[in-house]
Amino acid sequence: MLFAFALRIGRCLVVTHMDKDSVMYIGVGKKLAHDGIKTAFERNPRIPPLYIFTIACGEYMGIDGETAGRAVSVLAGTLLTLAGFMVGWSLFKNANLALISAFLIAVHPFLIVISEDVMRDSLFDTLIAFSLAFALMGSEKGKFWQWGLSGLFAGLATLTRSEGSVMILAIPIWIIVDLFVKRSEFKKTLFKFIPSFFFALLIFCLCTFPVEYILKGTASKWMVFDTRIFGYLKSVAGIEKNKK
Amino acid sequence: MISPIYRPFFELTKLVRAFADAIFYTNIVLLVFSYMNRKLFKKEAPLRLFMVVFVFNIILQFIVFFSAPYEKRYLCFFTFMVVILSVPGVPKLAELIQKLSKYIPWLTPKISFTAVMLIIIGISAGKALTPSGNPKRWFKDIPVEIKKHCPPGQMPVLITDSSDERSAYYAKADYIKLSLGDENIRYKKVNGVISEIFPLANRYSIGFLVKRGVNDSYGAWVLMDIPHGFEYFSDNIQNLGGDKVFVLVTMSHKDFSVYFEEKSIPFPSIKFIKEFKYKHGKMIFTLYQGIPPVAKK
Repeated sequence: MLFAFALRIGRCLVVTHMDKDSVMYIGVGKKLAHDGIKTAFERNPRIPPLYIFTIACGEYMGIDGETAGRAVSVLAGTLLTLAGFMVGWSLFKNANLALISAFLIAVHPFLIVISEDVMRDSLFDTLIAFSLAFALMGSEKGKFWQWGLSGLFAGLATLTRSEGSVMILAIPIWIIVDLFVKRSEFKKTLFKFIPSFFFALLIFCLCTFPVEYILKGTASKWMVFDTRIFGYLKSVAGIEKNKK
Repeated sequence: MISPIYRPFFELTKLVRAFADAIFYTNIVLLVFSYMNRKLFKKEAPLRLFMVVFVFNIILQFIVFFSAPYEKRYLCFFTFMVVILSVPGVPKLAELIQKLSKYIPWLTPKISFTAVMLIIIGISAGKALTPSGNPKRWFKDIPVEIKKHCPPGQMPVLITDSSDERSAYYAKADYIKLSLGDENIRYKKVNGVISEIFPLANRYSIGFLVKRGVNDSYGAWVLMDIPHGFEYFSDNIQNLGGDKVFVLVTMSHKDFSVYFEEKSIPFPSIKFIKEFKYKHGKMIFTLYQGIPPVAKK
C-alpha cells in the first residue's frame, strides 16, 4: 500500500493541471461548504453527492477544494490495493496470488492516473471494489455482516457514481446462476443466499434512499437509479423516446 | 466527415481503443498467459459471482456508451476486474522464462519471477509517471498573466471562446463564454429569471456572451441579460468592469480581427496583452484586457 501511495503521490507531482470536469466538482463543493445544501447542486443537479461532500468537507476545514479532492482520490486509490488483495484471496485462495493482485493494481497506469485527479472515479472504484470483495467473501461463507458490508459499500459507491448499483443488480443474477449450477443443493443455496441478498439490499437502501430524500428539497435531482439508464432502457423498449 | 455507413464501426473502434488503453498492454499480454494458467482460479461460488459482475459491468458499459457521451474513465471498475483476471499470467510468464534456465544456469524460479515483476513495474509505473505529451501549460501560463495585469483587490472576469473553464479557475476569475457561432443557445436570462428560447441558429450567435446554465438549464448555455453581438462588445466589457475584464481567444490577433472586419465594426477598445503559442505554433491563444472605466471618459 505504501508503494501504491508513493506512486500516486509521484503522479500528483508530475501532472500539474486537473481534468476539465474537476472545475465543476470544486465549484459545487465550494458552494456546498459556503452557501449550504439548498442551492449547491444547481450547477449540476444530477451529480451524486458523496465526492462533492468530501470536497466540501475539505473546504469547510480550510483546505482548498482542489487539494481536498486530490487527497481523497489518492487515499482511495491507495486503498484499492487492499480491495484487490481481498478479491484476489477470494478467487485464488492463495496469499501469493492475492499479493500479486494487490501489486498489479498498485502499479497499473490507468488506476494511478485516475487516483491523481480531482474526479470521483478513484473513490467510486475503491468503494465498488470493496463491495465486490465483501460480496465474494459472503458468497462463500454466507455471513450476514459480509453481505451487509457489501451492501454498504455498494450504497456508498452509488452515492459517488450511479453505476454503483450494478452490484445490487448482479447479486440476484448470481444467485440464479448458482441455483442452476448447484441444483443438488437447491434448497440450501436458496435459504442461504436469498436472506443474505435482502440484507445487503436493505443496507444499500438505508445508505442511499435517505440521501435521495434529503436532497429532494434542494437543487439536486440525483436519484439512486440513474435516469439516463432508465431513459435508455425505455427508449430501447419503445416506451418513451429518450428526451436527452 | 465520416460516412453514416461507417459511423457504427468508427464508434466501435473508439470503444475498443478505450478498452485497450484502460486495460493497458502489459495486462493484455498477462491475460493471454492467464488463460493458459486458468486452473489457478478456484471454480467456486466467488468466481461465479465475479464473472456475473464482470459481464454485468460490460453490458452496463455498452448501455452508457450508446446513451451518453462516453469517457475512458468509466472503465475504472472494469480495469480493476481485468487486472484481477490477469493475475495468473504472472506465474505462467515466470514459468516460461524459467524454461530458459537450460541455457542460463543462474536463472532460478525466484529470479524469473522477480524479472517478470520488475518488467511490469518498469513499464506500468514508467507510463504512469511520465508527464503527458500534452502538458497543457496554457492553463497555468495564462492565469499568471491575468493575475499580473488585474487591478489589485479585484476579482477578474474572463471572457473566452473556450468552453474549458480551467484558465478561469486558476486565475480565480468569473467565467463568461464568448460564443463564436458554435453554440446552440437555448436559454436567456432576463431580470434574474432564466427562460427557454427558441434555439438560435449558430450564425446568429456570433459575439454573444453566455454563462453556464443552472437547475433546469443545466448543461446548456444561457444568454446574459445584456445587449449582444460584437457591436456592443466594448460597452459590455466596460459594464462588466473595464480593466478587470480579460478576453481570451483561441486564435491569433489577426484571426480575431477578421470577425470585426467582416461586420465592418472597429476592433473593440481592449488592450492586447500577449499571444501564447504552444505545440510549435499550432495552438495559439491571445489575451486582451479591457481598458479602465476612467479611460473611456
